[in-house]
Amino acid sequence: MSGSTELTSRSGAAGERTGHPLRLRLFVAGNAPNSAQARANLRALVQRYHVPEGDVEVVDCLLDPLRAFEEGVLVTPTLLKLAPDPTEIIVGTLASVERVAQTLGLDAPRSAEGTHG
Amino acid sequence: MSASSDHPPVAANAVVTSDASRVERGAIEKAQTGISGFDEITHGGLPCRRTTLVVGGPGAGKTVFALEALVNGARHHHEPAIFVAFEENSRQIVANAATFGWDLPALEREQLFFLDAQLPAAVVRDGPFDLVAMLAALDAKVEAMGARRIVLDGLDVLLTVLGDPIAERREVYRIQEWLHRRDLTAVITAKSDAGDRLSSERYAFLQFMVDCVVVLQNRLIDRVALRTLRLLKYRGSSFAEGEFPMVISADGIDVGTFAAPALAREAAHERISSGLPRLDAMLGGGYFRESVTLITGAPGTAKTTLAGAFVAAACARGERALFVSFDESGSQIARNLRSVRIDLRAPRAAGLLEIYAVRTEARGAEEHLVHLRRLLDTQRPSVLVVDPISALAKSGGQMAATHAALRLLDAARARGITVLCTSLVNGADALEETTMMQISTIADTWMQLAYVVHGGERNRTLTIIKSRGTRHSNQVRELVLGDDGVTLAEVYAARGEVLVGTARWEREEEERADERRRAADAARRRAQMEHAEAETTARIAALEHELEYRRAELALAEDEESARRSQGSALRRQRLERRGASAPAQADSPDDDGDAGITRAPAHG
Repeated sequence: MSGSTELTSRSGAAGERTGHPLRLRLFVAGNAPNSAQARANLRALVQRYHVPEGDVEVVDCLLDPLRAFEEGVLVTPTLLKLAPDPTEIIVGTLASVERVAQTLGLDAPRSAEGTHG
Repeated sequence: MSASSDHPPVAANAVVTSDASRVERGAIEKAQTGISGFDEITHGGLPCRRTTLVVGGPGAGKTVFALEALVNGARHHHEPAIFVAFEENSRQIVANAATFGWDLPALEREQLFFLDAQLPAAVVRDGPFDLVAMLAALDAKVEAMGARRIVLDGLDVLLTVLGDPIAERREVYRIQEWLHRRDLTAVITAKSDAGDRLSSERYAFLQFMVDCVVVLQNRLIDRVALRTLRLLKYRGSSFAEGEFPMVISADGIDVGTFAAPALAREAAHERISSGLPRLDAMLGGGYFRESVTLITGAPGTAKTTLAGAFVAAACARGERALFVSFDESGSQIARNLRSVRIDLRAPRAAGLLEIYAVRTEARGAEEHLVHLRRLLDTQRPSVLVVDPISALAKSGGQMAATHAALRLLDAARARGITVLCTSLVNGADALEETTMMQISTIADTWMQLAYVVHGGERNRTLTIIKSRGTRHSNQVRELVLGDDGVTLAEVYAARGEVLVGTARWEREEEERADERRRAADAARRRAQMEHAEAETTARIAALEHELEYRRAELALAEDEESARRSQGSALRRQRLERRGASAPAQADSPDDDGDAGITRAPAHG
């Protein structure tokens, strides 16, 4: 099922929010292989789906170790969708960007790149 | 992979001299767990700064074991610790452990940190992931707390989450490396599939990787749950091999092993009464204090009676007693003993006697042992009766029962308690059966009760088979239970047979008759003798009388003679005077005229 009907999609640039903002938090472990991959994949996803930068936070657990405990994060990389409800947890390198986008409830990008389901 | 810690690696066998928890020096060091019995069979505890794997089926006690090791490290050795819970929620674990009385909340404030690491169910996986951040966080926590011990409880759950065997192996190595780098004494628990093996290949590598493997099991034997603990491996150390019975008691885990024998105790010299004076006489005064007495016999041979007599005697001295009954209830025992004049109600009411009646089938022998040991500590009796100790074998097998029985006797001795146990013997060969329980070898006194059938009657006999430190007769005695109490009677051996009961009474009657006869004979002879004596005395008296009489006669005759003589001379003088005074006095001629002169003598005027 492509696209979620309950979430607001972004259209265009930041500032034009029409509903609940998306908040993502990515937990990584420095430059560990999986974490590095996840960072890259998330960057790609953000670009493709035009997620505003401010909506995405990257937490380096190696710099702030106890943060992971506080948030209940055990493995890295872990991507938390904090808003809108419900909270989603995705672990792993976020290799399949489309699936991740689906889970996050992001619409297919309406960019010149064409429609990807 | 980077680590925030720059703790330098420590050489494997470095001797740390400052910590009190280290037991062995020079060889591999051990961290005491404080788990009853475990430190003994491992000769010191868990390998220090190494990883121990505890495997077992569901409910085998892995979490309790790991937690207790942490708690004791914190409480007794001031070693802060972290408990990472992958499977069960930490609040649940803490709540379940409340029964043990470890005061976890107090420990949690400073020494113990619980981390809930259960991966939430609804997690989307997309690509590989690792435990780097978790270890970084743990690292920071270890640093902050100064933790020395750590538990990873339910690691198999975490590994399952990882998904593929390669990732599992990689992450486990990562964990192991970190543990090593941080010099943590670690306990990892993992569920095993079937029996005692981590049969699946996925976890087999775990066993090879760690330094020590403990296997916990919870088996059903004869419908009784029996827990066991076994050391599968322990690198760099000797350890007690084999399976040990284990119990999860009210204070925690109790691994069944013999306490270090208290050989330094002086053997007691005081003797206490068995309750039967004649038995005391046979035993040189009674049972030795702190000794073990075993009474074996077929059902109905009055073992319980002897046990009751022993207890009654102790309470009469004001001592405390514990009567453990596996067969009958306290009131039954009291009632039965009352019929032979043994009163248990009074000491019970006075609080000196505690009767603990329980059916053995309800629990395993090990559980009974733990219960009984606790009773010994709370009741503090000076004498203990276990009636019958052979009943322990009803619950879960002979071996476990023997083990538990021996350890119970051990525990009693260590507390200076005098023990009397009875044992049921069904077969004809009592020696064979009891040796199976091995109690007869450690018992100081062993008496056997049996039935003797003779002349249509069954009577009870008692034989002292052995009594250390006492010269005892090996003669059989008859045990007589009557309305006026319990006593021992001599038996008669006639033509190789032992006579008891009516036959004995008959023989006794015979002997009494003989005795009477002999007494009568003696009396008769005495009477005869007296009679003869009297006769002789009388005769002597008579003869003496005669003698007296004769003497008197003789005296009389002599008197007469002298009287006659004096009279005769007087007459002559008178005659001469009458004849005329001039006539010279003629010699008196003794003639018979004196008498004839009577007719001529003048009449006396």
